Amino acid sequence: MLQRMARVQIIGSRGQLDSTVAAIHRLGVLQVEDVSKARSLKELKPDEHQARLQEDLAFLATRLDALIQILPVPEPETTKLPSSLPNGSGEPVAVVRAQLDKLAPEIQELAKRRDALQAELMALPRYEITLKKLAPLAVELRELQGFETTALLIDRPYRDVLEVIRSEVERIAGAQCEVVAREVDDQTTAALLLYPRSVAQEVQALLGQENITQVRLPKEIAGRSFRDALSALEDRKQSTEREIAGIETRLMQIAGRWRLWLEAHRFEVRNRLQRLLIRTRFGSTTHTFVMEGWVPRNKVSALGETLAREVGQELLVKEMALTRGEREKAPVAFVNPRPLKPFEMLVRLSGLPRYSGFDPTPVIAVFLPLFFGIILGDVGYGLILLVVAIDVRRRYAANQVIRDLAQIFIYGAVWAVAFGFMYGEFLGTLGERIGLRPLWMPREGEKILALFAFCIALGVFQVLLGLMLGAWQAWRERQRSELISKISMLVTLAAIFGLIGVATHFLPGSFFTPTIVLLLIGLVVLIIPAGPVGVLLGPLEVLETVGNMLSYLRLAAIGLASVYLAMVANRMAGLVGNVLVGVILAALLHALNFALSVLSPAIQSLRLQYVEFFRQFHHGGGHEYKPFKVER
Amino acid sequence: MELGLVAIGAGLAVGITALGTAYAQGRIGSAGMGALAEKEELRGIVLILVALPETMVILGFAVAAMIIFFLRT
Repeated sequence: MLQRMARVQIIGSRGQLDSTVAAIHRLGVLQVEDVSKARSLKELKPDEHQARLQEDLAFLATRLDALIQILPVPEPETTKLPSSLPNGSGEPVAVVRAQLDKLAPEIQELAKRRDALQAELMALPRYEITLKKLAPLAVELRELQGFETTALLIDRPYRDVLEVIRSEVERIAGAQCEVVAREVDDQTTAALLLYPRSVAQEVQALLGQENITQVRLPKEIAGRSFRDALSALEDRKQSTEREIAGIETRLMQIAGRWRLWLEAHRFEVRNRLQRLLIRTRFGSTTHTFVMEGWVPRNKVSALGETLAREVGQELLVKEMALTRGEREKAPVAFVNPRPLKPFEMLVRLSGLPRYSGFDPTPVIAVFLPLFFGIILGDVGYGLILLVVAIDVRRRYAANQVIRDLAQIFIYGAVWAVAFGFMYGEFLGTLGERIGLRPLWMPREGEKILALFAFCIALGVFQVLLGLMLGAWQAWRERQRSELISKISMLVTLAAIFGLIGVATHFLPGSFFTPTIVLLLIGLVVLIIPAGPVGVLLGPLEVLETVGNMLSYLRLAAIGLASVYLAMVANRMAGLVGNVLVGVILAALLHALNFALSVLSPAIQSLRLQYVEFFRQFHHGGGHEYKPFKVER
Repeated sequence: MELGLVAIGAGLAVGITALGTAYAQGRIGSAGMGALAEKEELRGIVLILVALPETMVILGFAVAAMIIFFLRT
């Protein structure tokens, strides 16, 4: 169901502005609309003090966000409410700013150092790989006083450049140089150049000029021999890890002491900022302010009473008389009983209904789990899913989306168990072996035709329900052509069913002429409003609607595929000679089938709601009710 | 009718419609993802458009079932 909304107008003197905004913010039921440019009112511009305060608060909110993002979430036992926490009113901006000035430098410095160390920690293994590649070459070179070594790693396709480098270094250093090279893997050639320190500058210039990449090591390691460098790298890695752990501990200490304080003030600062920003939507005259907004109809009197008590009796709060067009713009809020709430998410996914529209949540809540159960229809799979869904709902109680999805699967699993008994299925055909007899219709052989008929009957019911809801909605919205189109479609379908009844001798032959007349009337009324193209579109639309009804056959078809996969799992297990291997094989195949059996029915049942059912009446286009309220 | 021919006919009814559905869903799906990247609020419509061609394979399944059950004898 959708919440009935009323539009209220509040007019007060400018002196009452702050207290009115504060009261409305606290009450949190009014969605404030922009009237600053309407009905010959002026915009309510902030004075100089307010503008500065707005700017300060926005800056503080950004600083608080940045610090909170850096700090870890402390363990519950270390989070204690600091004594300086305000009791809702908040501390003055200057006090919060001063505290941030004290806290921010240390936190930011720690975060910066940690980032640098983490980057280094990631780079160290790369140096290690390089050094290991170069180490065998180092053995071939004697370590000499007054000589310099440069390491190069060259990609295989460019190895010819090494000869050029060799001849150039020999030209610079004469006989006092050595160049050794070795293939270190499929892609790389490593080279070490040894030359006198006196010509180091020229060699470096040559390498720079030729755009040769040298292996550069961290400066703590750069001066050491290859043998020492590897162990130095390991030491460096350990000391970096220790330093990062120290920083994390310090950040955790700060978080334990200050995170709650920062979060409390972030909310306070944001809420104060909201109370200033909302004024841009108000209109004003020289001495008064005017605000308008949507409020749930059952909260109108509470809003009036609260404002009269907290601001004053002279504040004018009145419910506005609205035209049909204005009412169409009302925001949409769901008011469904708790067990139906999880399904609201699925309605939202296809677009919120318009305010004057129909909320399909209760219908989805009935049909979606039912369809899921019809497709899955297995006691074993249903029970496994039930246990898994209950566990997921318990584990992720804090995450509303996961909790809602788990709840939907719980409903579906219950139906799956129920239909499992009706089909007599337990992990596919295993039910038969353990003496489970179908209560209604088994999914095998020609008996499956009964299930086909049942599924199509469900389709006929839901599509007709959708058409009737569409007609009711069109009548409510005074959309005459839409209403005629829905009714003529219903008449045409009734005639088609009548003809099928006559053809199958379910109805007497005397019904033939009246149903043909009804069919012609229905088609003509369907065609006329669309003009000449209606001759083509009208019959096509009828065919499409009949197709929508037949589409419910998927309830049987998808389930059948799952049954056969389960059957294959059991038979393959039987074919393997070894019992243990057979059981493992069957378990694996059942696990695969279970995953497919959960995913596929969920998607297919949802699709039937969105495509076949919703298209008959659901247009979307509503916008969500977002009251102006205190952030927690 | 010969059982083999019945089986081939049923297989073709599902197989060909499945190919048609897969081709259409592939084309619509990729176009839909492009549209969603530009305009996320279209997700409801895109979901419906992607799901539309599935009816084809379901009708193919219905025809296959009719072939099996009514032509087998």
